[in-house]
Amino acid sequence: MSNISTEKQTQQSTVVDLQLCYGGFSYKGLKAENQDAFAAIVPKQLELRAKGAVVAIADGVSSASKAAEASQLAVTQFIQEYLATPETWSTQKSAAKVLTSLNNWLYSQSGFVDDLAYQNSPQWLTTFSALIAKSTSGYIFHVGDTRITKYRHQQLEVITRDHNRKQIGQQALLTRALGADSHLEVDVYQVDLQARDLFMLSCDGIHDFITKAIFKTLFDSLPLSPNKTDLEALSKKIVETALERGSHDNVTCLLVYIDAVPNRKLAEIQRDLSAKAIPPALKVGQKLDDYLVKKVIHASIRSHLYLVIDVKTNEPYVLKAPSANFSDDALYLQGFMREAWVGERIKHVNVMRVLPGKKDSQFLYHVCEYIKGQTLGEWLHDNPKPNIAQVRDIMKQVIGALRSFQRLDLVHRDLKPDNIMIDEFGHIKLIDYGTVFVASLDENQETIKEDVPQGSLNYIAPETLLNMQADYQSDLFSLGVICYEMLSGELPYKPMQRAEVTFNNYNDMQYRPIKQFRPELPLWLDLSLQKATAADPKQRYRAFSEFFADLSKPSSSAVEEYKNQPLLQRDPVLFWQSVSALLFIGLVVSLVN
Amino acid sequence: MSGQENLNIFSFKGKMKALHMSWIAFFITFAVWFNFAPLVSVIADSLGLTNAEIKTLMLLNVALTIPARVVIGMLTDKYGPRLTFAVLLAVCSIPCFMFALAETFEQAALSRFLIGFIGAGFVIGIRMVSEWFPVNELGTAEGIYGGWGNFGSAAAAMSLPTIALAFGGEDGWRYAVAFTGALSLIFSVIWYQNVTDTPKGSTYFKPKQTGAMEVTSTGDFFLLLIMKIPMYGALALLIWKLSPSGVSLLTEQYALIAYISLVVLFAIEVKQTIKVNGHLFSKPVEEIHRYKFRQVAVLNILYFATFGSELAVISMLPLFFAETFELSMVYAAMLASTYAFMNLMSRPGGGWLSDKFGRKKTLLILTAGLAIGYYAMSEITGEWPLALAVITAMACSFFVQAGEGAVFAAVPLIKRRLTGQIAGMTGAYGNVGAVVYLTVLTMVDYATFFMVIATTAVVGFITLLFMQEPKGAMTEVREDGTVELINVGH
Repeated sequence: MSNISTEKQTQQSTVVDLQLCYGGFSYKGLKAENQDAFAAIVPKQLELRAKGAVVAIADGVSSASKAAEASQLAVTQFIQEYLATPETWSTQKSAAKVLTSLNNWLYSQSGFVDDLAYQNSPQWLTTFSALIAKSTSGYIFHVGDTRITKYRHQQLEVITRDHNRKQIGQQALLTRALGADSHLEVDVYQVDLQARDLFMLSCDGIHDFITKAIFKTLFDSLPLSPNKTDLEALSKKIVETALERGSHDNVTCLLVYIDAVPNRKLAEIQRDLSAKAIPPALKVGQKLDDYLVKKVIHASIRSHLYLVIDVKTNEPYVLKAPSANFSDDALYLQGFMREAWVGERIKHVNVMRVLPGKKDSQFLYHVCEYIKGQTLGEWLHDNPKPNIAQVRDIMKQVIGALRSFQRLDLVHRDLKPDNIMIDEFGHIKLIDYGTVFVASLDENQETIKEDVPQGSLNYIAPETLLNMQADYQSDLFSLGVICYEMLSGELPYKPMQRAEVTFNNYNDMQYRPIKQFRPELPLWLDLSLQKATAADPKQRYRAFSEFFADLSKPSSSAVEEYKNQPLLQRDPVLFWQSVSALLFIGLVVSLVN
Repeated sequence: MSGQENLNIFSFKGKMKALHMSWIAFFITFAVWFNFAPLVSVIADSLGLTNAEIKTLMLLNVALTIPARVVIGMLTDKYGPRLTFAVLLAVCSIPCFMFALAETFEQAALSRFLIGFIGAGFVIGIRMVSEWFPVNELGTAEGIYGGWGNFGSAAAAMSLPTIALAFGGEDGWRYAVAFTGALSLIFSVIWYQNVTDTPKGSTYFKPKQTGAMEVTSTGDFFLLLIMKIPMYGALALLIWKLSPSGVSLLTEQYALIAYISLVVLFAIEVKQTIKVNGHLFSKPVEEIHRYKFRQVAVLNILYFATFGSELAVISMLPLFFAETFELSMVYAAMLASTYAFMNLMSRPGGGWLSDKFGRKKTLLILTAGLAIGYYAMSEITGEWPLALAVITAMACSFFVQAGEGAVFAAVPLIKRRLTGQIAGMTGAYGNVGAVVYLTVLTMVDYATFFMVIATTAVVGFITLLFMQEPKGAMTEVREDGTVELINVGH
């Protein structure tokens, strides 16, 4: 076909995705019932990249009546629920959410909740240790005395710390378990993964009876690049060894072997990113794959937007293609692909949908739903100085969209009037999220690190400019600026001329009260805008809803507070002008005398 | 979603406003820069200049532009086109007024030397236009910018003698020169108040690099160093020309100081180059990031022959016509302006031709044309019918300016990320060409001067054979309008 595909085939030696295998064995041992449980899943390619492979072990607390059920439920539910969290969430956020709800459920089963703890009410208690292997990192979540051990370069390292209190002459007492309390503290560890690492998840029936030296000999007996059968065989051998050495508990062991971790070099990642060709600037009447160009909507130094129809279905769509200016800018291409990835995952009435593209296209572009209307920037041009009710309605919808971003652990980062579409009924849709920050991808090794703040002049949050950081509060800043601009046609800070950071700290940015542009606006509105666009994120609203609440009704407390401030804080310019005037009068008086 | 206006030259909104403002600014810099050529004989009479002194002034006029381009490029990166162009226009009106008031050859020489700074304005506008136009319109936009801006010299040639006559008297030329200075000063304010550096709400981007040029192999590293030498060579040539061995404008000591500072500057530049590219010697660059510096070198040489010769020729052509055909200066200047007049069409035309027929083929044809054109011009004598001489000049200038357009159409295709630096270096070579050709002019007669240019064009043609067609046009549109990838190379 073209030289692109041949080039791609020559570099297969590198590893694109994490490769691992696992095997485990569990036996009730001398006890009547096996209260241990383990489970593992290695998802397919894309999910593996976003969520990782999950292995978990649990050991039901034997004093509890529902120990076996609790451990079973913990491992299976954890894995299922974890994989069901949005692919955009960071590993830690996903695991934390799942563990919290799992704990709540187990705890509520015990009947402690309503102080109805009867003597014979069921008790669901279990220890829990899970390893999530994703890209080049292992994330460990741990409660109780099950253990996760790492074996690398013939070195044995116990990563987790047992949550128990040793008592002389007696059995150790478990101090933390899933389902024991409504408040759960989970230990979280992050370890780097390397090829040929071996991880062991074990219960106390194993690790209390086998010494480090014996573990080593056992691990060393593993063949080079073992498969699942080898790992299962070794697990069984470990279990047998524990029993031989006098273990009287349930015995469970789960082994995970890391075959390879993603190791593409930056240049290879960049080459893969540019594997698809950037389509040339299209003209009306030209056809890209099955999309016939009907109109050129927008062309800038960054991207081209076309109104197209799918010749097969006759449906209108918007086709977005990157500008050839970025053919060797891996960071931009990464953002472009991420936009499609996010667009397929975010479903909200106020966010533009990106359709799953043709998988085998030679070109890089995405197809988005067709939105009738104009950008908010154009709308503002046609409707200068809209009233507060109109602005509030638009804000409400944008906030709805942004909260859906926030729920998915996403930060838009490039919110501006040109990226918001509005139709004739005032319905809003967010478009363009090529600079979206995705927590789950950011923690992966194969993400190209950014070296420039992402966002647009005048709308970008100050903290992003200063320390390259962005969270939902940065989106809130941009939203505040948009709101201010809609009301006044001006910007809350002196407009920036160029894409250059010209300030060193938050105090260098002086808020311009909106009253100077539109005097009839009430003071409370000015105060909410000032708080929404505060340069220092610490001074800003903590939530979108707070901002919207203050936009919706006069916040009398804020006005009171404002009025009680000394003049120096409320209006420094007026303060110093007055001081200067007084000094001048004093000077004149003294000169005259 | 709303529509998008295309490249409509009658529009004066958004990006078109940026383009119009840019080319007008560039137009004015060119009018100021070449306000001397059409008035040269009047000025010579008024100040009592010899023929050699006139040619020295022409040479001084283009000398400072070489280092100025570097300085202006850095200032544009730091302060943006809006401020930089405004300051340049305002500041450069000062030497323009100085020249208008000059009484001696030394004063005229100094002000002419300083005016050379305004020639670097080109860089600022190129940057401005690239911020506003999508990639498919950029070639045309920069063609319009370059072509219409360059037309400033033709406009100066056509109007200044008339203005000088209108004011009349021996000092008429002073008013004409001061007029261009005033224009520059006034437009500096208009520019500052009417443009913004980037479209509203534009996105943050990687700051453009101004440091040394990046190369991607050790061989290219040395080629880059070799390609730096002519820039210093041109300046050394100029110093030699001004030293006692030439026109004695500089004393022996000053000339020596100037030579030493050139060497120091070159050492600094080599150090910079090593700093940016030193890693090449420890670790080769990944295949995907590589490009061939040879391509840049070829474009540099071609721009040397095209833009360099254009700058030199528009400086001397009025004098050439006046002397060869014994014409009045106003008339000669009018005729000479036809050369630069072609800019309106031919520079954008060169870009268009390259889009249509491929970069290398277009460049080969245009370079061959310009060699023949300059050869024909070297044959012009007083016996030729005047009309034929003018037509020859116009035909030659078509190839020259279309060649310039075609060179700049190829620049962005070499290495997208380094476009700014490649354009900067190529542009500088245009000025090096001007200095070299004008120095040659001080030593030889007109016919030989044109023959020298024709010879360099032949050299350019030969180096062009080593250039590879830049990839970029990898797509093909089938008859039914389907866009698809085509196989390039192999």
